[in-house]
Amino acid sequence: MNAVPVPCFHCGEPVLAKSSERAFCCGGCEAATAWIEGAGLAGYYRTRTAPAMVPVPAAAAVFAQWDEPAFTGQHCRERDGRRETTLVVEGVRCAACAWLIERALAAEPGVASACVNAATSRLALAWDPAATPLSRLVALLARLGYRVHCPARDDARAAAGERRASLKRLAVAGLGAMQAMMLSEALYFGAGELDLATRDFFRWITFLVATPVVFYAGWPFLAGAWRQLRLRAPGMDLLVAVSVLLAWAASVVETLRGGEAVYYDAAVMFIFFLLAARHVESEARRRATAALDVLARAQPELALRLDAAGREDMVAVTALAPGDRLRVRAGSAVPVDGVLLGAPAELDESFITGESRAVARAPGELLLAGSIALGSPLELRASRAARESTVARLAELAARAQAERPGAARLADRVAGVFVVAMLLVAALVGLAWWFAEPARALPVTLAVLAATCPCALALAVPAAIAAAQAAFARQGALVLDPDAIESLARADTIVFDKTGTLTSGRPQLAAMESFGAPRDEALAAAAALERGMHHPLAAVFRPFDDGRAADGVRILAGQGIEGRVGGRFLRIGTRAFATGGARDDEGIWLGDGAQALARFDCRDAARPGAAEALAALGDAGLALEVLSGDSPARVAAIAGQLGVRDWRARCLPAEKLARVRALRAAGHRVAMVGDGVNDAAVLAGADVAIALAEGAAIAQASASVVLAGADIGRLPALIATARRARRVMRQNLAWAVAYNGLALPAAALGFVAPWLAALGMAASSLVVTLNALRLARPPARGAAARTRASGRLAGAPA
Amino acid sequence: MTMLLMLIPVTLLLVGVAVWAFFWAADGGQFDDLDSPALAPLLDDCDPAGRPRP
Repeated sequence: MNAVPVPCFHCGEPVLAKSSERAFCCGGCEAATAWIEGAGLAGYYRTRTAPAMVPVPAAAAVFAQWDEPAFTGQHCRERDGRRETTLVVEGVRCAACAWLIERALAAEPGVASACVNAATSRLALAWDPAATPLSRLVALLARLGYRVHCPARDDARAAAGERRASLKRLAVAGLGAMQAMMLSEALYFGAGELDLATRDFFRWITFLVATPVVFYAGWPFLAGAWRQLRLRAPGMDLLVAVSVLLAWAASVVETLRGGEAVYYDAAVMFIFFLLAARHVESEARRRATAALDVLARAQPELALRLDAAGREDMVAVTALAPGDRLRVRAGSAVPVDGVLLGAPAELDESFITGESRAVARAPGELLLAGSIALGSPLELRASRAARESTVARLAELAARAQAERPGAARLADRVAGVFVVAMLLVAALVGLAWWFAEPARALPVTLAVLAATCPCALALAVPAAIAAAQAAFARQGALVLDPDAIESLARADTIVFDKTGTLTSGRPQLAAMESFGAPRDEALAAAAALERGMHHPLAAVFRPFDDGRAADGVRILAGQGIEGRVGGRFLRIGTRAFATGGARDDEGIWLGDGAQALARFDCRDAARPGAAEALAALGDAGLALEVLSGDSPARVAAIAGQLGVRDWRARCLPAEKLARVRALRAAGHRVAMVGDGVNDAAVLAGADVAIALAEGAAIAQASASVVLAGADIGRLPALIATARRARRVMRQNLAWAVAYNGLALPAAALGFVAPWLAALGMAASSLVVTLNALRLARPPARGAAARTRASGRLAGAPA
Repeated sequence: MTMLLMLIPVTLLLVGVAVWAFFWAADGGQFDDLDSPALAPLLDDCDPAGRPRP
């Protein structure tokens, strides 16, 4: 076969094809492209910046739940004969996706408006249910590769309002700070030449500009300080509020009585800097949580309950009770834990156990919620309510482990509290001392002390570095959910990896094949024809070899394989005994006619592209590597050997993984954990710093502090390098701020520093730490990263 | 110096107008999605052949 690997035109997955102009990895992608071009929307391919998702074929019945009253009653609003809802769309990877979805939906009859926000992946839809059922629209999106979920909570409006308010505060503070600075410069540098009337005029104007900044833009700090006062827990907000209010009030007093100096500029600059840092941080958080919400709800919000007569009834999962009989359609997820009834069935449990192969279950065995029915529909009897299912209990375990993580943030708050009180006491003491020594100079000196010790630089030193590092992380494709994670990541000395889905893609690939008599192409094409339309993870292995030949009378035999007629010949694919009548079973997949073998396929879950280089780089950076997996020892050993990891443990249950990480921490190691699955949630929460993959389960991400976009673990070495640089910058900043405050405080207390000079020094000091932090946001030398990326891509192409 | 008496209020007025314009834009949702609208002019209403969409 003289084929070369080329990217699929639609989704970018590598496929083997003759080097023609366009190749498609599967029928789904081809159909999606045909539809998009047929609708005149081919511009999508020119403007998109990320490849599309692979469309997943699904039966029309799967979408019927979107029209059920159980869904519409809960999630839709009726207005003017139209129905409106907000949905979360999975697979919106760039702005072109948003455009494509809007156009595709708008072309459907009955759709009044369709509006997609690419940043939050929300689709606001208004349509006429009489003209088009929602299920048809959802099916259309599925055909294009977008999966639709109900949002976990409909707070999009509130979040948008909060963001708008924060932007407006920032704008007022920014404009106000510029004006106040400009006028203050005139006051500082023209001090000798300005006549009194002009000086007072300038001061009143500055008052006009600064007052809205203090009370409108600075409102979050004032409100926070009031809260902290009421709770008797002094923190940064209190310090900020006291400094700002004192500077403002003292300036008003000085303006009224025509005093020595005013400090409006100090107050507004302080507010502006802090607001900017907070805005950057909340923006990063908003993007992260929007990405999380996309995955927050797996599709079966609804379940098919069977009544005594065997009729199907669509109900919400929360309404299920133990003892209910349920039906799960092929390709759907099991809604609650339950006991299998009727025929044996095959399930994909990788979501829970991390085991990469399909598992055969006999009647009477327990099925876990979240596992996916493969091949044929199945029936089960619910044994637990939804919130007591295995998945829910894992979430609880994760939440508990997370609560035990020591919060550096809480420590910082306590330190800040002590600092605030100390600072106010010092200012009061100095004021008192001067009052007795020289009453006329008491106020200016107290203000100078407050301005000099106003810990602007100290307060900004760490947040500015963290905000800049978060921006640097975001550019490298990682979202930081917990700002403490940057510090922890810089200090980590051990990295623990999950295997399935993290080091490997979780999708098996064809590693080797032997053919017995039949030509290789023929055998592959026949296997592809038999596996066509199957949901089994192994079916995807053969999809690239599908040449469209027909297969009739295809039948699935659970736990054994598939049989059918291809090109008039009866063929079976599956276990050795089933396909060839051979005695001993092995791990391979056999193609035969029931008596004689035609071919044997060896499918393996291969390491992710770039994983080997990334792990080697991490080892070079002085980190110890370890693999913990729920999979079998043979498969874990194979991957660990391939990637050069010596320490690995197989068949680990979630609790065992957590115990291992705890043991490592108890031995004094600082552990970073990288995982993706539901089974990793607990261990992620138990590590010093947890990194989850954006492709993985939502609950894993909820307990992680860093989420890696896509699944590119090749970025890890660069991220760790960034974290270490950020830590260095934080230390430099802190050292500078402490040194400055330490020098300025005695000087100001002894009356050597005029208040305006102290304020200027404070602003300059803040500027120094901010600029130092901004060095982080600049990309480092690029050569190394680019090389890793390029070689990773080459390694990713199938042989 | 008397020029300042006029120029500074004018500056304040301009700042006020800028703040009002920003508030109006923010409340109108102009800053809610900063990614997708940038593509609109590139994609609107025609396919690669330049044929207007039905």
